[in-house]
Amino acid sequence: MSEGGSYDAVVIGAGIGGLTAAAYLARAGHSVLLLEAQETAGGTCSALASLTGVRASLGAHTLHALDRRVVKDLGLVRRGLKFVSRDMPLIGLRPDGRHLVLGRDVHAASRAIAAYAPADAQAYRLYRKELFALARALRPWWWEAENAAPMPRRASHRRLLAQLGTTSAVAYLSGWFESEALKATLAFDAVSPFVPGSALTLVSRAAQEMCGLQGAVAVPQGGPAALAQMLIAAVREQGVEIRTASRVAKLILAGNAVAGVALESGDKIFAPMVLSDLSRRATLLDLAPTACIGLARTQALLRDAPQTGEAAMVFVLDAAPELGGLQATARFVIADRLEAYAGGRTRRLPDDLVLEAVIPTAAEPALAPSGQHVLSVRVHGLPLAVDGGWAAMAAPLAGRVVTLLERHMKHLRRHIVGVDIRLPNAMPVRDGNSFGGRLLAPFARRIATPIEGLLLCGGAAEPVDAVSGRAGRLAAAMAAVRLARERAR
Amino acid sequence: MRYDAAIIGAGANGLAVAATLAGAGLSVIVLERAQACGGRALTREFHPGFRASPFCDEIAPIPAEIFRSLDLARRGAIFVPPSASSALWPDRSSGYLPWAEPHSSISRLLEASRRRGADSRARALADALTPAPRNWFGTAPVPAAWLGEDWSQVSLADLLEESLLDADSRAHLMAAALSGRTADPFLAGTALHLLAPGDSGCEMGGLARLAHALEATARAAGAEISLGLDVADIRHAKQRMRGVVLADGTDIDARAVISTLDLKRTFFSLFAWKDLPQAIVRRVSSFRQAAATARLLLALDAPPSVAADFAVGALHVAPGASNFADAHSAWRAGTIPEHPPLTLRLVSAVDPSLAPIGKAVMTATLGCIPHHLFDGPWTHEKRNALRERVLADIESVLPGTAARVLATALIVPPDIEETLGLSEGDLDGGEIAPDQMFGLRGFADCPGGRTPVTGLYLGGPSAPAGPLGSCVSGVVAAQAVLADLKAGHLA
Repeated sequence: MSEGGSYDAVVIGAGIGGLTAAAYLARAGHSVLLLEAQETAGGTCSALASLTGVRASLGAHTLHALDRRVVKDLGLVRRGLKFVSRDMPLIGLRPDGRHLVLGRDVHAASRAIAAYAPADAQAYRLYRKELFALARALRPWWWEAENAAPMPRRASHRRLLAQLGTTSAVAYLSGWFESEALKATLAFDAVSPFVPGSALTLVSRAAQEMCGLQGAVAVPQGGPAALAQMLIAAVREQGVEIRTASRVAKLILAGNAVAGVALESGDKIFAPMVLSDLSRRATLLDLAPTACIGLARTQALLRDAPQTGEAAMVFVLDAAPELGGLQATARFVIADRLEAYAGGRTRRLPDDLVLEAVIPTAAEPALAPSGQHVLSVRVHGLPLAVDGGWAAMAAPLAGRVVTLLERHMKHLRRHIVGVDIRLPNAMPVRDGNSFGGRLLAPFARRIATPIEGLLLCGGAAEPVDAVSGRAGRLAAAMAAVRLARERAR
Repeated sequence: MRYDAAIIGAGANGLAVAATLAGAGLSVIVLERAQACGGRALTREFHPGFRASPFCDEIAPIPAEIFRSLDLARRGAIFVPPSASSALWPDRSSGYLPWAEPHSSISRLLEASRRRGADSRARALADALTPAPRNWFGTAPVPAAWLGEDWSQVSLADLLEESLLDADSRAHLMAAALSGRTADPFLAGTALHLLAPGDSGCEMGGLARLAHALEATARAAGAEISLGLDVADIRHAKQRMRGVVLADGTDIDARAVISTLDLKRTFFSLFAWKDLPQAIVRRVSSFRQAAATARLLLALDAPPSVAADFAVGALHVAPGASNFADAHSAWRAGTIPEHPPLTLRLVSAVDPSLAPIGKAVMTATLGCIPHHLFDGPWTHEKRNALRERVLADIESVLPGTAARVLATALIVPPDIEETLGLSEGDLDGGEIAPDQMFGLRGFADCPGGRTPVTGLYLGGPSAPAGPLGSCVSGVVAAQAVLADLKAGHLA
């Protein structure tokens, strides 16, 4: 065992949250060590090495929640952050060809919906209005670390929130709409739409702002991997030491406070503050000493295991997919029935798949070698474990996905020249299951842990997992306050 | 005709409202569509000589304080304490009887659910007693946390897994909690189903006897009961109740109207849509009511071969959580599950008067039976198919029963809707889900069964105290009426 040095703060995980937190802490004059278990920094946003010449990742394939302050404070625009698609419409692909094109223009969206269910067209306008108003009212509450902003002032908003915190997205959407097609398409953003409280994830999506537009979805130039590269550059510029291929084995505690981390290599690193980009479960159950947070909290964390997983796929094509006249820079959602979201409860491949497909090269051809295209797919509602093991199921799953996509993209199969898949079991364990409590908690409570000096700075501290950087910024601010207090002492 | 209060529906809740308000000196009229009082508390002959309650064998418990205050014992209501229920497995020969151990972890769990239920009832009553000035959706605060809410983030499967070591006990308790209902036990919030079963007892002489006792109490207190006439319309002006109009055109003036119908039926059948503000229409239409209960009544020429210990309590067929999840997803898809969750009761073993001497009556309560089938309405063939499926399931747990069947009567959700007037045939008056329980049930801004319409109260299953026991939401609504009268809100 050797001493790996001592720092003001150690950040575990060099994902977007970890990079942001490290950059902010270093900017405030603290010595920071950033530890990454993988060979490269960037977390789920880093580009795949398996597909040569293609810049795509199996993590996020679009951005919808990037924090404006992070962009400004870390000078990301100066480093080249630019968006090639600013406001991608959501297109629900239907088997009968009557696709639901839901863009920013509510009237156009209503017309598309009216083809299905005339009553829903009117309801859609009211739904957007309520969702966006609620989202704006909640923004101060969701944006700040300390609960300085009051809950929404209007009583009707407060009442609605109390209700939505325990309502499932399916129930909420069913209260508005009749058409299964519309409900299933809109439910995609709620991730697990049958879970009570998931209605609030829809509000939280609507509260985000991209490129100055509320609730927009965008693709940055170079893809999310480029964003990760810019953050890595920002972190390096601040003089942060990044150690890749260094997996943390355990946290070192002194009493109830964190004192440092022990690496799997045996190195020990000491620091009064540790920020973790991992999920709350992974941080507190895997890294902290057994039962140091008490039985009740352990039980609550175990309970909060997600029930369904998601798979990610990247297909490399030698020609642009034929979309039959649909806008290519869009999010295509295939969700035939709401029931399909519940498919993950069994131990077999579900009969119906729900997926989102994006063609990043439609907006930026430079992401693939000339002439080639990238089709990026996320499949939701899959079981975390299947009979026979996921390894054996990868090929059947990919085959099903391609068949499903081929309904709308003719001859897709024959154009595929490369593929990479991330299966649900390979996904780092997310927190999940109970949305209401997590979404309505103030940011500071999501960042803090029962262990003193240990903070969460990644997706686990966001209201909903997202590539945002906001949790990293706020966690760094909380850590800086604590470090300043210690220093004064 | 002018009354202080008009009550729609003469079920247990309606009669409790009438007794409470008339007892306080108000002039009260109860309006019932059927020819007899009682609502679901009903016993009827389904085959010559064989009687059973078509909708439920036991109603949710009447809390002791309400039982006393309504003086039901003196009117002849006799509650038999619940017998230990047992569980049966299709692939095992013997039954399972875990509730006999008094100090087991099951008792602790049941005690916890009882405590939460009682606390929530007390909370509903306290809400009723504090009159809140309000109009449409206005100034009322967000509902504070209710006791029992700690279960609304927990799934039933998780809660049972944490509390009970024995897998059989878990399956048994889950079957008891979900009997006649539908829920995915792996979904957060389903633990709330444990609140509802409570400690139900049964009524000696069939449920009809309880209805008689309640009716006698209400009449003795001076309430008028009008049978056989439906309420057709509610008269209101300036967001305030004026009275009701009966189907034959009779106008009844009332300062307060207490509806024991469910939320959807109260608003959508008695009001004209256009009269209601958008916010109320939204709230009422987003309230989820969904039926899942079907019942099969069986007349048997001899009692089935069940050990005497097991015969008196409920027999839950308990194959475990995944069966409930499968049945629930079949229900959601509008299909009849392959093995619907099943609870059997040999009702004639408890009350021999229900069957001729030597014969027996058994009831089967089925869960996860949809009201709307994906392929159209319930037909004769579909009913027969369900009947065959259930008889086969019964045969697999109690071999030899099918041969003893003399006659059967099947009640599916549309029958319940038609007879009892419950929207969708939902006996709970609204899905048991975290966003539809406690203070969030009914109208969140208007505690104690009040509604945004001044003078209109919910005293039925969709009121906050609705699923927490019989007569409770009625008494809560009655207390709210009295409190508002005292405060001068109902001039």
